[in-house]
Amino acid sequence: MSPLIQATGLSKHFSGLRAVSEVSLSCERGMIHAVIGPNGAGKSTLLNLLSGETKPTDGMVFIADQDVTGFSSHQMSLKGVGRSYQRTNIFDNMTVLENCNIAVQSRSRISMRFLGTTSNYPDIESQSKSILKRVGLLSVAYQLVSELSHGAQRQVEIALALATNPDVLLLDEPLAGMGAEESQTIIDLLRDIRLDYAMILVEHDMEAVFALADFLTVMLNGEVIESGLPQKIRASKKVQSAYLGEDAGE
Amino acid sequence: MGKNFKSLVIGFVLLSLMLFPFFGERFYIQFASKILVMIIFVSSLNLLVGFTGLVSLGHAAFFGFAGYVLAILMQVDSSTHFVTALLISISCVGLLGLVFGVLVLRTKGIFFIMSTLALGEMLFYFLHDTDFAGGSDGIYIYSRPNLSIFDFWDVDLANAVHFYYVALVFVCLTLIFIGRIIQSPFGRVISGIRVNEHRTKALGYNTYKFKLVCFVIASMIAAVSGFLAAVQFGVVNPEMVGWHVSGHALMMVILGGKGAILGPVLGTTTLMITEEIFQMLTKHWQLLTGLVIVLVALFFPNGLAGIRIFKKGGSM
Repeated sequence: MSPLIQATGLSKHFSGLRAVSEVSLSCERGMIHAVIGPNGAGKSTLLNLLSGETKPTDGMVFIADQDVTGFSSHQMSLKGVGRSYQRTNIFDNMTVLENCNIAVQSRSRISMRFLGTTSNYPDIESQSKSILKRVGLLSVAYQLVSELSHGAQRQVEIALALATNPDVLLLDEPLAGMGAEESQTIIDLLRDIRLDYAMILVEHDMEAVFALADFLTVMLNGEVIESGLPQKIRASKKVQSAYLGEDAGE
Repeated sequence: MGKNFKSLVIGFVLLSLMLFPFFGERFYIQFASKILVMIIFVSSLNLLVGFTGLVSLGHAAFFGFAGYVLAILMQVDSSTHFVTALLISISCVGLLGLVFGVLVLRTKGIFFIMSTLALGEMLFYFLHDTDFAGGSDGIYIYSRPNLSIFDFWDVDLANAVHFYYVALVFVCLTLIFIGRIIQSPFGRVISGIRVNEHRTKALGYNTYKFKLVCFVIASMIAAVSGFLAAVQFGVVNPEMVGWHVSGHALMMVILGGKGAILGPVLGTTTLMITEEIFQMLTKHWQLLTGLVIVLVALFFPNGLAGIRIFKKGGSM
């Protein structure tokens, strides 16, 4: 099976700083590929390169064998890449449902219509509601996102990514700042939906990573120092020293 | 109850506006018309500032340019019909809006403000310093475009009362039009852009394209007001294009409450009436006006439309 998303030799240099250097990885549908590493290892930059928010200095990105290197974020989204953000990046002062409606509508052809009211297009809202049901937010659909708990806002973050009906999901620390119970909700959710997507997961919670990941890539100072199946990573001396040793980055 | 009450208030206001010419003196009718025309302009700016989050200081370019198109048109053919002239004027301004938009929307934030200001001033100096359109004196419009409706109803645009009703109709159309935009799928996208453009783009929207469409629509609405202003005063001059007009309108947007349909109505009416009163009281009226704006901004950060009695059920 050919990978849904593939990156080869991906590099990003910020005026001398090698944030990401020669990273290659791939992910196919039904697989969770976790990217781990200490802070500053370049994980978020890597996701930005994959989602089109940052242009790579070098290397290529493919979606289902099509070269999409240099595509901007909205083009990547339309190619089927959905992402969530480490720092919650949703629409404040709007309800959960309105947040989701914006995301769902991006897949329709109606967004340039400026005379009919949105109530003429009830499909959007019903699709939103089914997404919200899936992520467990239906009961708060009419609440402002700014009034939600941090954990629920993180769920909105994921709902927005899912609402664009992607094939590839890039998740940047979905569990950041969550309590144990909230984390478990998200972990269960990801487990439920894993077969439908190719997921690239950046996460610091190692327990969650090893509970979910099929494959791991470990980064340090912008480079891949190890990659492989979970048991190989667990046993790797290099990974242990990266996390515990003195050359562990910042 | 809230909704009924609101319809009642709007109905009452509309009725009084319709009856106003029967009681008001000529001066007041003309002044009211001036306010009505300005409401259209401020509403178009609010579409950018309040609903899309694009603060423009060059919006007067479209206002003034529309007047110039009319003036030149009337020089070429003084029998041009009102509707034809209006459509030509809106189209020309829309084209100018497209050119300006393509350039300025490449920038963001303060750079956007500066580049809109720059383009507006370029147009100002072009009109001011060349003989192309009457230079600094502008152009007089000796004959108003004729507005006969189906040949049996002649509207005389030089007549203050007639003009007042025409302006009132256009204000209603503008507010309804903008209200429709806000509630449309397109409006949903521009509200996303206002709140969080980065995420909107990441969700698959080409935000540049949406902002450009919105910018052009706003320029075309501004054209309606500039056109009407030129009709009312029978003259256009470079001042109409200058940044003072843009800045003044921006104050009205902020005073009224950005991002509310009725904000421009409240902001424009309040500011123009207070200015008029202060001008009668003192030579230093601008000082007082400034004070009022600072006080409103301080105590009602959401503008006049954000004050409780004006607030309607939940949505903006």
